[in-house]
Formats: sequence, C-alpha cells, structure tokens
Amino acid sequence: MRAPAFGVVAALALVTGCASKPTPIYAWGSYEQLIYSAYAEPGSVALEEQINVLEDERNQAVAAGLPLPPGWHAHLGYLYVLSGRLDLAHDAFVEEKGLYPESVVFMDRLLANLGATPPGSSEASEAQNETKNEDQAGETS
Amino acid sequence: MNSRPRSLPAILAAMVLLAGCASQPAAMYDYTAFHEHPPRSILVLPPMNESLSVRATYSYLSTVSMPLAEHGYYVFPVQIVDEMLKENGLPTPGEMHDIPLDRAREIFGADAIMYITVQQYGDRFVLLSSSSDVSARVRLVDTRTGTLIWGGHAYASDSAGMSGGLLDQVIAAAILQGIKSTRDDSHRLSSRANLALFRRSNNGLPFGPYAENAGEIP
Repeated sequence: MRAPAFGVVAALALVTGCASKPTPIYAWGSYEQLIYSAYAEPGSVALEEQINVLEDERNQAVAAGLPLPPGWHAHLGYLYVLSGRLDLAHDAFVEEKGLYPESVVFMDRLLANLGATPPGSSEASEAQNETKNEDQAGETS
Repeated sequence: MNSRPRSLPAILAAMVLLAGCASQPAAMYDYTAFHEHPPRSILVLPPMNESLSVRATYSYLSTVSMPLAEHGYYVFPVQIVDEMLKENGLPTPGEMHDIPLDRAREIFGADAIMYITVQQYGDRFVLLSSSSDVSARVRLVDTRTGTLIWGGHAYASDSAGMSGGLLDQVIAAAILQGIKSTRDDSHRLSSRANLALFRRSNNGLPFGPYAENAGEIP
C-alpha cells in the first residue's frame, strides 16, 4: 500500500473534523435506495410500491416541516408516468419547477412530452382528482 | 565507509515521511475558474466504469444526489436523466459523456455537468485481510464554456481503523426511514466517498446556493 494507514486515518480525521454537524437540509427518505434497487435488482420493488413509499415519505416530510430534495418531485412524476397517471405526473413536474427554478427547462420538456401522450379517460381523471384532493388535505394539515 | 551508504536510506526514508506529512494539509485548490462560472444546477451523468464490478455505474450513480444536493446544489433527477439520454440514442455512459455541452444545456438547462469515472468498486484482498474500496475521479465542467471548474478524487475504504464517523452520521441522518435496504458495502462507501470529497478542506467543492454557507469553501 502506498499511503501509510496512519496518513489515511489522519486525513479522515481532518475531513470529519471539518465536517459540520449532521443536520440534513432535505428529507431524503428512500429516494436514493429506490433508484439503487431499480438498477441493481430491477423489479425487486414494484412500481406501485415505489410510488406508495414516496407518497408516504412526502407526507412524513410535510408533517416534519422538511423540504423534499431537488429532483424528488420530478422522480415521483416519472414514476406516475410509468404507471399511466399522467395528471399526477403533470402536477409533480409543476411542483418541481415551482420549488426549484433551475429545473424549468427540463420540467417544461417533460411536461411537453406529457402533452404529446394521449390523455387518460375521463374516469381515470376523476379518480386522480380524488387522490389529488386527499393529497392536498394531507399537505395542508 | 560502510556507515554512510546505510544511513542514506534512513535519511531518504525520513525525508519521504516528512514530505508525506507536509503534504497532509492539502494545498488550496485554484478556484478561479469556479468563481468565474459558479453553477446552481448540476447534471450528474451515469459514471464511466473502470472497475471490475459490472454494477459500479448505476450503484455509484444512486449515491451522488444526496451528498451533492446537501452541499447546496440543484441536482437533476439521475434516473430520468439516464432514461432520457438512452431514449435519445445514447445507451452507454461512454456515449453520454460525449454529449455536446450545448445539447445538454438545451435539453436539461444544466449549468454544469459532473463527469464521474469509477476506478475501484468492491472487495480487494490485501495479504491477511480484505477491504472494501471505492474510488472515483470526478470532474465538474461549465456547460457554457466547457471550462473545468472543479475536480477531485473520491475515495472511501472499509479497511480496519477507517470508520466513516461523522460522515456516516450525516448519511444516516439524511435517510428518514429506509425501505428494506439492499445496499451493499460498496454502495454505502460511495455515499461516504462523495461526501468526503465534496467536504474536503481546501480543495472540496464550494457550497452551492441552497446551503446555509453558500459560496464558502469547505
């Protein structure tokens, strides 16, 4: 080994010594683990379960008063697209754009792509509106 | 006459040791280019893989968002970015890394692109013990000018005597409530390697606009 273990430990002590105390800015929940699972073991977590986990964690984050991280709403929107719930996808992309103006170019592109996809049936939109109302109630409480 | 050649290696060894110690407080990184093009948003491309592990690219990719966003940057959703690039005819990380900067700007609106090459990912056997090592080269490039604005080498190891300490606490604190976790050792180490690289004194990544200490150098 090139570097003596002592040096490595000293370097790490330096790094950790300078690190600020662990207070995360965002509620990350399972965001990165879900992405990991999707690639490492595709299908190990079903699409609907991924959505449920993220929806639950969103409610927890709102309750705890913690912001959700950059890309989070966009990612949930992408899962909604995969599950065919385009209205919810639309709302998620708009939410991402509102929270993080840096995402406007990308979100507008995703929203435009949504518009190009055939819209869901009227029954589906009714069901989505109900879900949306529940979500809003959850967020305002 | 016999004593001189013997002492020479000793002196050399002492010098190497001293030099090694002197270089411990890392030299201050030249942040001129960074300050000329400070990014708000960073597009993390799926890493190139030089390691022996076939899962390195995507396992590593899923450990960059948290440390980078916690550092104060807008990080584009990595999985959608990957999907979109694949749909646009770029199926491999190598091809994605060759995407013209103006095209990346046009599609994503990203201020900077983070290019990562994973060098080591996984178990390595060293004489009597095994250790798990993760290392990667990281470059951050301004999409308007193509200027390299920051870079470094991420490294973490699980060998004896090297605990994540506070870094692991940061990672643990960021995870609200994990679902059934399938994370392997290398995956956990990647988060730590990134966190350590971004926060390294004197040559870490300057804090981004969403951090409390935005603009400061770690």
